[in-house]
Amino acid sequence: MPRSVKKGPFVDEHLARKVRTSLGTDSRRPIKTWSRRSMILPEFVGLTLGVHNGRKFIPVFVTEDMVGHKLGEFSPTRTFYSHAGDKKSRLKGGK
Amino acid sequence: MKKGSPENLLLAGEVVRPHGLDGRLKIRSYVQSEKSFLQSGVVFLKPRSGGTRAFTVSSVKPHKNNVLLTLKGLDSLEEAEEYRGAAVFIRRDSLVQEETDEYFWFDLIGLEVYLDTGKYIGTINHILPTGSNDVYVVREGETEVLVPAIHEVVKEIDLDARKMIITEMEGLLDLNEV
Repeated sequence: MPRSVKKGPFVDEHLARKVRTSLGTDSRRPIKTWSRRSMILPEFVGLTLGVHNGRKFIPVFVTEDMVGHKLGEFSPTRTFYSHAGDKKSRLKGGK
Repeated sequence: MKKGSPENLLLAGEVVRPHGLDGRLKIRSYVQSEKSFLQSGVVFLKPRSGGTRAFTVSSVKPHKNNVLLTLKGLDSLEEAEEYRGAAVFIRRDSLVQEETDEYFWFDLIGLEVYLDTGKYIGTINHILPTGSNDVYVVREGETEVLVPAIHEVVKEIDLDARKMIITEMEGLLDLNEV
C-alpha cells in the first residue's frame, strides 16, 4: 500500500538539514548519511550522497530519474562477485 | 595482437555438459547476450586437461538460464563429452563499444588510478553496480577508496597507458575514513 499523498514524502530531518546547508554553501562535498529510508527529492538532483550500506559509505550521484526512490535502493548491502564478461560501465553526469 | 592470442580472449562462459546426441554444448554464459558468441564467430574451448581449441559457431540458442551452442567439428556426444567443464572464450575485438563514455569492465579492472595532481591512489579492484552510477573500488594495500563513475570525478581514462585520472572531489577520499 503506497504512502498517503497527504503526508508528503518522508525525508529524515537531519538529512534535509545537511542538504539545505550544502545547497546554501554550494559545496560539492559528498553528504554522508545513514538514512537509507529517506526519499530522494528533486532538490537532491546533482548532489553526491555517501549512503551507508552497513559497512561503508557508497558515493551516489543523484540524477532526475532517481527522484521518488529511497536512498537505500542505490547502496547495495551485499557484494556479488561475478565474471566481468562483457559488462559495461558508463560515466554518468554532465561533462 | 593476434586474433587467438590469450590477451585477445575473453572468458565468456563455461560448458555445463553436452546437450543431446549431436554434439551440442550447454553453456553457462557470462556475457549479457548470446549474440556475442555469434559476433565472435569463433569460440575457443579450454578443457580442464589443457590445450585450447578453436571452433566455428554454427548456431546459438537460449535454453532456460543457459545457452546451447552448436559448433562445427563437434558432431557427436562422445566428442562433446571431452569438453565438459571447459572454459569458453570469445574474441575481445568482436565486442562492440557503442558509446564513447562506456567502457568494458575487463578494460577497467586493473587500471592504475591517479589524482590530477599526480598522486597515485591505487588500482581498480572491482566495480560495484549501484543502480545509479557504478562505483570503482580502488585499492592500495589496506586502503580502499570508492570512486563514483561520474564525469565530475573521472577526468580521463587512458586504456593504452592503463591509467585513470580523477579529480579530488572535496571529501571523497576520506569518505570512508573513521
